[in-house]
Amino acid sequence: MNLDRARAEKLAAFLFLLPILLTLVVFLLGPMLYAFYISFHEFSFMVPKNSKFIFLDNYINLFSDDTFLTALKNTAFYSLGVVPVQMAIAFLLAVCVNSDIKGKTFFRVAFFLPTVTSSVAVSLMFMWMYSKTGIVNYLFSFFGIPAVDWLNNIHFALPALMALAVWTTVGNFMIIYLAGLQEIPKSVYEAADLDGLNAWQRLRFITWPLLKNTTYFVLIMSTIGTFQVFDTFYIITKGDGGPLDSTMTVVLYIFKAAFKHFDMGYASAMAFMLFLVIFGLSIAQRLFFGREEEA
Amino acid sequence: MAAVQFKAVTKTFDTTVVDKMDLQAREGEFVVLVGPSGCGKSTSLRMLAGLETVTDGSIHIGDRDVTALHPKDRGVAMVFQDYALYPHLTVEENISLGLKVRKLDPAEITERVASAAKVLELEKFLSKKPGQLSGGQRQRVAMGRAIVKRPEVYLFDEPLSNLDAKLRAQLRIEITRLHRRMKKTVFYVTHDQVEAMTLADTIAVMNEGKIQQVGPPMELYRHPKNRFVASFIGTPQMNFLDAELDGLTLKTKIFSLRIPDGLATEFTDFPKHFTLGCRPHDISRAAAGAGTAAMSADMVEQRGAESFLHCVQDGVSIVARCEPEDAPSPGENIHLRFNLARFHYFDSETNERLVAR
Repeated sequence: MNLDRARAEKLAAFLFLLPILLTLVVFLLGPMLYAFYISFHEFSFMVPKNSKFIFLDNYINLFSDDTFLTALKNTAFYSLGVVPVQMAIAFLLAVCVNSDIKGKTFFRVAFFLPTVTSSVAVSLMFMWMYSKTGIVNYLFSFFGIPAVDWLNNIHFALPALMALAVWTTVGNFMIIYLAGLQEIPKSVYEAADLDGLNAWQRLRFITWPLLKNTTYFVLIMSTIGTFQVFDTFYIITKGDGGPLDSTMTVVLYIFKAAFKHFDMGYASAMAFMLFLVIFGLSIAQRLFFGREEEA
Repeated sequence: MAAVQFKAVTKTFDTTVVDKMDLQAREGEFVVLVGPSGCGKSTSLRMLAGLETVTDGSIHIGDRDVTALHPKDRGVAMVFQDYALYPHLTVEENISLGLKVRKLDPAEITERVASAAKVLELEKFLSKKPGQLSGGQRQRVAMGRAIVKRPEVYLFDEPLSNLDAKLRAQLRIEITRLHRRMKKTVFYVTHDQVEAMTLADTIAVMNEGKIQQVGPPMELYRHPKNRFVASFIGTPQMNFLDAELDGLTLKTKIFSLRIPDGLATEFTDFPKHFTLGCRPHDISRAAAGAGTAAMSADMVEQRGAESFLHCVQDGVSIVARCEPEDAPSPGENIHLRFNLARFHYFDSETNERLVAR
């Protein structure tokens, strides 16, 4: 009797899980494995059965593909620029909106708003702002700086997009930091007051170390996010990473290879290279931060 | 010169939480602020610590007016209810951080931490982090953090309320010992009147932002100034009855007693109706007779060494003490004798004590 019942329960649990399992297998795990499989092929979109097994050729070719190397370099540069700035600003904003300033709810909402705004709308807005007659040039003109066509200049296009990325995502990480800050009991700061810690020492000896886990999480999410950047670049450069590949990122190039050049095998190989890079970085960051078990 | 002095201190948030509070403590005195939650006791302590601003009035420590001083400059150390330890630091670092930021000589710091750890039996835990300690050990660390600062005044904000009963009793004794050793002024906030009675040299009972009475524990127990203090100090709570004087006969709903001639003069200024208070320990079971109250036993509260009877009659509830072997069964009809010599009398309107003894 009991055995039957246990089995029935297991079956019921499985049936409840089935829809999501099926979805995951069909739309996530399946395509991933299939992509891994075709990354070893010269894959024909039109006639899949004409695909040719070429083993590691796609991977090897990546290293002599200038566009891929440029994309990788751009992505790394983008990540190195965006992640620290984004984290620093997010942390400072969180500290500000966590303090007793007037209108902090307004600021919290205002800083978070870009995160929930459609990336298409944000991109269009920044295209106007960055245009030759846009507000950025207008503001710089007060300092006598001549107008620049930011998004069509090979030196400024990527930094311009980095600024955009910081602006759109900083609110999200601010909220995560804010949650971390609010986990710290008020009485700990009061004890610090009585211990005679000044504002800097409070930040240095209490806030920052207690936010270590939060910082680690933000670092990982921010790094992954920057390596996977696509939408704003796609919209602003109309899908080709211009000018002269100066805003070509890895994911943008994957998209281009897959859906413009119809070179699925090659695109899949790139996707797996990107996966390895992100995976490696996450492991490295984990090692750097060490294990943190304390509450 | 009082070591600590509150002079007409008022604190207003949206409402007035502390109302023109006057209180002073001698140097080395152990003062317990006690009262129900929301009575303003914690706010008073936090104003003394400098964690809350003072709306009006002034606070003095020694001969210094500290009202506007930063917490670190007041010469106080505080132990918090939730311990407020730095979770990422070891016990040793927790205790010494306050000394380090004051740039004390490292040898001095080591010496102070070692001596505090010895007193509090924390030597084994110095390299542990707070997360690895029990509640009682954490509270000791919090006390260690206070001790090493060698403050003039120690502040305790309900330090034992997160601990279980056994540990609470143990730490109560330890705090008393510590106080005896340090000989420093202590301000201690609690809502637990047992804690107040056992620890204090002086108890200040607060209610609704006002100090109700200040005095040694037994003074408050024996001569409560008003009905609030009478009901707050002592457990189980004092019984209150509506009473009236008919000549020299004291009448309540459940009994009447003749006042002995020798005591008659005490009642000359009494109003006709007033409130009579009698502690459970001053009521006992008796055989039926003149002056006793016939009641029905409702419930027996066993405490081991003694028992408390909850009795009812004509809508009046009384709690009386009795020996455990004397305890009746629920529903039994019994008689109680009230000890007139220990009665307290309160004005029914103002709730103030009648007859100043």
